[in-house]
Amino acid sequence: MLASVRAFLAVWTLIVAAGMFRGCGPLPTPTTSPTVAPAIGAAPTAVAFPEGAPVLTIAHTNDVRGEVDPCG
Amino acid sequence: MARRANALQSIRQGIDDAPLLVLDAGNALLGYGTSYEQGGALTREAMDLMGYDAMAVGGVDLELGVAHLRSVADEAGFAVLSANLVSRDTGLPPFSPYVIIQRAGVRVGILGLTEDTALDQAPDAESYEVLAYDATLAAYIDDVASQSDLVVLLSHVGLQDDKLLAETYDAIDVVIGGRNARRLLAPESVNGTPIVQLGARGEDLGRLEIALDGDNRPIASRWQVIALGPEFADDPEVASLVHRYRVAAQSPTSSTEAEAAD
Repeated sequence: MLASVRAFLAVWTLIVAAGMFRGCGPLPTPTTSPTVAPAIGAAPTAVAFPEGAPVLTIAHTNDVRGEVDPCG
Repeated sequence: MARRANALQSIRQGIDDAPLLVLDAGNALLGYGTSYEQGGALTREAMDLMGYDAMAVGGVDLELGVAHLRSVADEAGFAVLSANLVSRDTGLPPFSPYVIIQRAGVRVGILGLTEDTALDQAPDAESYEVLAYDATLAAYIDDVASQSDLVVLLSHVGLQDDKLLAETYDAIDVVIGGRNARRLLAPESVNGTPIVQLGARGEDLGRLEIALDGDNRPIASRWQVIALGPEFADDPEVASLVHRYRVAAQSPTSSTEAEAAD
């Protein structure tokens, strides 16, 4: 019986952890102020730009496939 | 989608008057649920709200036909680009091959490419064909480069071909890619040309920064993948738009785009 309970809890822990990893965990209290998420990947912060150089920023997406809410 | 709008707003606020472009590398408009049922109208309208400048045509965007996408593109405030999708009758592309966008004095040429299988699901596929990537670039690249400070290839042909094209054409300064839906952890680099691509479903937003010299030529770049997790609040305007379309989609008497948009 105890083993079954442990197995059940382990499965649920994995399911919840997988959801959190995808960014689909429980929503926090909504706010309207923009926030900045941490970057992933090693390269972004490693490149220093020449001081005073103008910077063009390209924000981009691909293969969204009309998805409205990836966590929905 | 509403989180993405919030993240874009955050980027805009952070860079003040510096030039910003918002691009999509294809397979944007159709696909899942309400967006497909509404013929891409929801996605198109949301992309307008988010200030997109251009998108490349991908196969999923053509699932209701080239003519349908053409009608969506006519309503869009952003450019829908494909240089290598052409009419069999005229040989002409139904979408703009490229666009030159000038922002804060920087002229950016953006050339769109579509994957070779893009017409597989299109109901009007027999009227169109997808030309070879290399021959298409050969036909357009000098024209685009001559009008631009830097050239962006907005590509839905996939990472492997993106690398080959970047290696072949020195005039390509940046590749914003798609198709593989492969979330790169760092840009690929071929001949100094950064190639970036995100995963699928809009879970991330890419931010590529390019430092320019006195002639507006690129001298360095850095890239950030912003995971659109729950720490991003929904943008109220886009959230409201999505809600409106969902309500319209659930109503038995109002399932058309026009009714949804009222």
